[in-house]
Amino acid sequence: MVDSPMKEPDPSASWDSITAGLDLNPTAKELTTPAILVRLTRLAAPLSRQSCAAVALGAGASLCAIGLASTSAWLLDRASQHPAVLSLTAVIGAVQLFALGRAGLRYAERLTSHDRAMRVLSKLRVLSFEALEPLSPGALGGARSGDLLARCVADVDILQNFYLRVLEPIAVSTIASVLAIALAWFFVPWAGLILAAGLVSGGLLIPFLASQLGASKAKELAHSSARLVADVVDILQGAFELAAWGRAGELNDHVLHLDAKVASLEKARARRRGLVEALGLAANGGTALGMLAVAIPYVQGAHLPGVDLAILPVLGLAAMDMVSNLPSALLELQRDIQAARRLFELERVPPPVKEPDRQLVIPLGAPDVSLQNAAVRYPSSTRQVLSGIDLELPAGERVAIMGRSGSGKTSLVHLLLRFWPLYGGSAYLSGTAFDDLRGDDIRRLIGALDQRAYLFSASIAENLRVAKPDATDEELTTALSVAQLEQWVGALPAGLATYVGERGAEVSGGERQRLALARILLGGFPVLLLDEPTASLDSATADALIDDLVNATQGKAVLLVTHRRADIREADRLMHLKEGMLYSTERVAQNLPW
Amino acid sequence: MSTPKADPQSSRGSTLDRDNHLPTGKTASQPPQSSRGSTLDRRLLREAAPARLAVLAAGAIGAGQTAFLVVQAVTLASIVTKVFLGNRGLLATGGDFMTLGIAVVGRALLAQLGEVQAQDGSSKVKSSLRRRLLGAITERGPVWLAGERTGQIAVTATHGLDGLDGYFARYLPQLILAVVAPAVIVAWVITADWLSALILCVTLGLIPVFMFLLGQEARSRMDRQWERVERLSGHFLDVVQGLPTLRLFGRAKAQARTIARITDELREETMQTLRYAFLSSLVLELLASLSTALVALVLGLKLISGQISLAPALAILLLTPEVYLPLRRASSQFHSAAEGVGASGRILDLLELPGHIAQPPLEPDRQAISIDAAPFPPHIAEMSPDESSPSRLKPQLVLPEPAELGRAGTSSVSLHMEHVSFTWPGRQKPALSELDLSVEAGSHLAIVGPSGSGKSTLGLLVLGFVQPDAGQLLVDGERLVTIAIKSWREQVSWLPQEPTIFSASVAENLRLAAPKAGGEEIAAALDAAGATEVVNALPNGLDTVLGEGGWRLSAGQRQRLALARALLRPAKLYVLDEPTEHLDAETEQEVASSLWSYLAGRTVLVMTHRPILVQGADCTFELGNPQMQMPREPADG
Repeated sequence: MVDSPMKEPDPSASWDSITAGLDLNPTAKELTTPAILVRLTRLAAPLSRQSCAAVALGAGASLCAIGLASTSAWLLDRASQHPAVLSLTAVIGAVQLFALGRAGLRYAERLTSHDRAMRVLSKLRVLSFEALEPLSPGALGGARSGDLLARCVADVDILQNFYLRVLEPIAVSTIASVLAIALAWFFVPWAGLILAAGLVSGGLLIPFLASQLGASKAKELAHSSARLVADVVDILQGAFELAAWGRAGELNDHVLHLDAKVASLEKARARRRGLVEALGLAANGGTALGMLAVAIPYVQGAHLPGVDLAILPVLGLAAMDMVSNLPSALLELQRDIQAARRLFELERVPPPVKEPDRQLVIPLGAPDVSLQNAAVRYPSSTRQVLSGIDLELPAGERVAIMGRSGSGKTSLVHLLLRFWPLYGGSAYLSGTAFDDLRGDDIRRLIGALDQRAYLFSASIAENLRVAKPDATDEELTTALSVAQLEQWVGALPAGLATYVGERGAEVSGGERQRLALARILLGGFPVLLLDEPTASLDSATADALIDDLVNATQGKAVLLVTHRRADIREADRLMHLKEGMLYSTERVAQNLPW
Repeated sequence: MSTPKADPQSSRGSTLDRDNHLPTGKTASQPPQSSRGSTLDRRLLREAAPARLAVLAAGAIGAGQTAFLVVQAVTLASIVTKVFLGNRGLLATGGDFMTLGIAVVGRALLAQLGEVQAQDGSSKVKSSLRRRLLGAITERGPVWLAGERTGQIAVTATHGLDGLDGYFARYLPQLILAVVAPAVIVAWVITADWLSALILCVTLGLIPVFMFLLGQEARSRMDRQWERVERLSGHFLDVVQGLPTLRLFGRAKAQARTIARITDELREETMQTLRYAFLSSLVLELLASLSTALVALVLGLKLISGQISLAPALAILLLTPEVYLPLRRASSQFHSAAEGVGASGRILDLLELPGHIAQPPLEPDRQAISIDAAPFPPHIAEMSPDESSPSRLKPQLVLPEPAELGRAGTSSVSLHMEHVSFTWPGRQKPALSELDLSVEAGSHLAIVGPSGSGKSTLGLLVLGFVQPDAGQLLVDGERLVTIAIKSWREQVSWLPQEPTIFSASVAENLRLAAPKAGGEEIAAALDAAGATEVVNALPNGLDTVLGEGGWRLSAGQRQRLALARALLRPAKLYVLDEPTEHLDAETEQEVASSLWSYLAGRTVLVMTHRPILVQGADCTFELGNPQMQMPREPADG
């Protein structure tokens, strides 16, 4: 496996494979492209004052560029007729104004449009977060959930540029094009038509051609490149094994062969790109040439003053320059629609757990949890991951559940945390059915510690205050001391304010779990689910953690799920989970490997 | 060349693209990179001949394009003049239109040629760097890159190098054009009007000065705000990944507001930096515009006084913006180049590494390490995997082919280590010292010891990847150094501590170690490694493609497949490093019981810390405690 740099989602990995575990509402109609576009455009608030200002500034800058070219050319034409210098003052002023205007307006436009785009980002982030929130973690495709989340964040990153790279360039190009065509028409109608044709072919037809040319070849290239990456990764990471088996040379030859294939595909791609570029340049020159040619008869027929002639080709060149960023905008648009489709589809995934219409209040007092004949099923599979589960977790009792990986341990924890619904049977918290309770109310009483607890890229104190935002420093220190971290934190120069690194990268596995322990203690949950809390630790660290867990959770109802025998020493009761069924110890005793 | 260097974004890789990008969580989380190798990378040109060729080609094509541009401008100006002042018609200017058409088509054709040429250069450079990297691994042996982050290197050698496409196809041509175009245009303008040429030269000269001043200011501002922007942009990913935790504590719904607030802060911070970052393009654009205006003014005055005629004046005016255009484009395309150049630089760095290692390979937590240029240790210089290496002693013995598993004949070897010591270069403490160890043919030895006691190093010594500093290894009484390494490795099957699962089908993965294995042998090996159920659970069984882009296995599944692969290889000596790592207790139990019976009659070295495996071995050897080699009592049933 590759380390971190491959974290970026592979764009070639099919979205379907990532969402395989998602229950994408099959009855709902598929989102149409126009609907996506409308929604996306709305998000960018194209009619807001800021958006309009950015477009106006951009169009102004483009027109200044056209104005600068045209007036300066006219200035020379006029000057060649030897007029009085003073008569040219206005034109000279206009030239200067256009020159300053072009640069100044462009700068202002850039700032405005970037600010607009960042405001869109804020909306997009909130939107995608709210879509993900009810789905996490149960409905996010299990092992592939990391891919899905990374893909989702990447989509937001792509879409944040929708305004900047798609909407605004298209709006600016359209407005400026129409004005440029009108101007050309004013001098010579035919020149206006030629300019219109040039702009349409340069801005629309040629980019369309580019996207159509060799689409299948592009796929082949993407596939071969991905293959090449995989093989180079293999050769480097498996260098020792390949040498030990005497197979390194063979694989090297294979890679070089693949490399040559990729190179030839790349060359074909370059030919296509070159063609598109050449067509674009030809369209530019051709438009100027055509506009000049059609204007000449007008000059000869005295319908156009000769002094104005130079304006037309110059106008043509400047206008064609304006649409030069349209191809990339259109390409970006395709990418954006795909990203938006994924994001908007995510919103339509029904939350796995339906919140009740009527909400009952959980009776006061130490809560107990009970499952009766409970079953769990995932939409992607026909098999039940859990079935016929009977479990009593009375207040103050410790129950340990052992089982090998894949036996349904995590599903059981998700069921109890109300991250996933019952498929059959019933579940009660202090005698009230889960179905009548809000998920948040259940999770107010039931807390959980994961096998690799998540730490936020923040300080120790901030990570702890996730459990209790108004906790005082004393409360934090108390929780830390129960988790046996008081000394460790005390020895840190920044103490509670110490940054734990990106997602907790700077703390050890043991410290991570203890910080998470302090966090759930601070949460004050009377029921705790410990889901393989020692799985990522070496055995000495694990033993110490279990001891401290036992001490810290006295008096609480604790469900410990583990596959480590040493973890269960202090349990009141031991059960075994095997292929989705829960057995009390007596019934599986003879199969025990210990 | 100074302009792109002064680009304020240059030191940040692609974080803040001046035109169209916003900082994202992804890119912003990368640490600031040094600006080294940011412009025309000298080392790349020196090291890669195709790169030099590409530069020459780009220069020639750029000069050609500019020449056509000059022809285009001059012809256009001449047509306008002829019609306007000479009152000629379309027919009379037909020749000029022909020339104009040729110039337009010529430019277009050169553009096509340039694109193909650039890709060709890029592909060749990428291939040559890749070939050299892979060749170096074969030549110097796998120990060369051990201790490096191979995953990162692989990505650099592929995706990273693909960034060179942007460098060769867009940045380099523009950069060269930024030098060639002003030179060609100014050369022509001098012949037409020296004063306009002077204006162009002065403004061109001002650009680097302004850019340098602005770049300094922008960079220092960005340095100050970097960490803050980085944290703010990473916040969203953090919150999304921590969603389950937030829901556990009932904090998820409240996060939407926090996300909006933090993103707002990010926007404000980013706009602060952009205000400065965009100044450089403002200055470029302003200089280009103002010099056009100034040239127009000067030419206008000269025309009024009759010091110049209209045709050259118009041509100069048309060419003036073209002097600045490549420079503006090059600086906006800078980001597309930085990544590829950085990647090629890292590959060249690696190739310059001496064949020594600063860290033992396959340590459980591989850390990125800085390689210091320590002298070439002699014993490492000898460890070429190539049997023809002159440093190996001759004559070399060739051992007989290993017998097929289960058949009669000599199916195992004895292995003895005498006073073997080994210290990793750059380390103070020896990994192994004065080690004496014996495994008789056909016996099973478990080697135990705390992590860091040299268990994995022992495996590398046996495989001949590293040579002992002192002492020797004997195989059936022959000194290992006298045996051809290739023929020795054919007798050995090795399961490293972190086995590699290749991006290929399960069957291909298995046959990498045992090309001749048949279906029954595969089934038996899978069974012994507890991997039958792993394969059965895969969508296409043995034909399921694994790895990147294929099926992903859990750590325990990978381990079992790798063990099956090691068991499948017909060998006289099996070296298994932590074979039951990542397995749950029940599976470990099953594997431990099947493993020993499968390997009955073979010589086996098992490095492990699991009591359950140790129980089944004939002998146990505790590393770090040489007196502890002792036969075990028969395992209790």
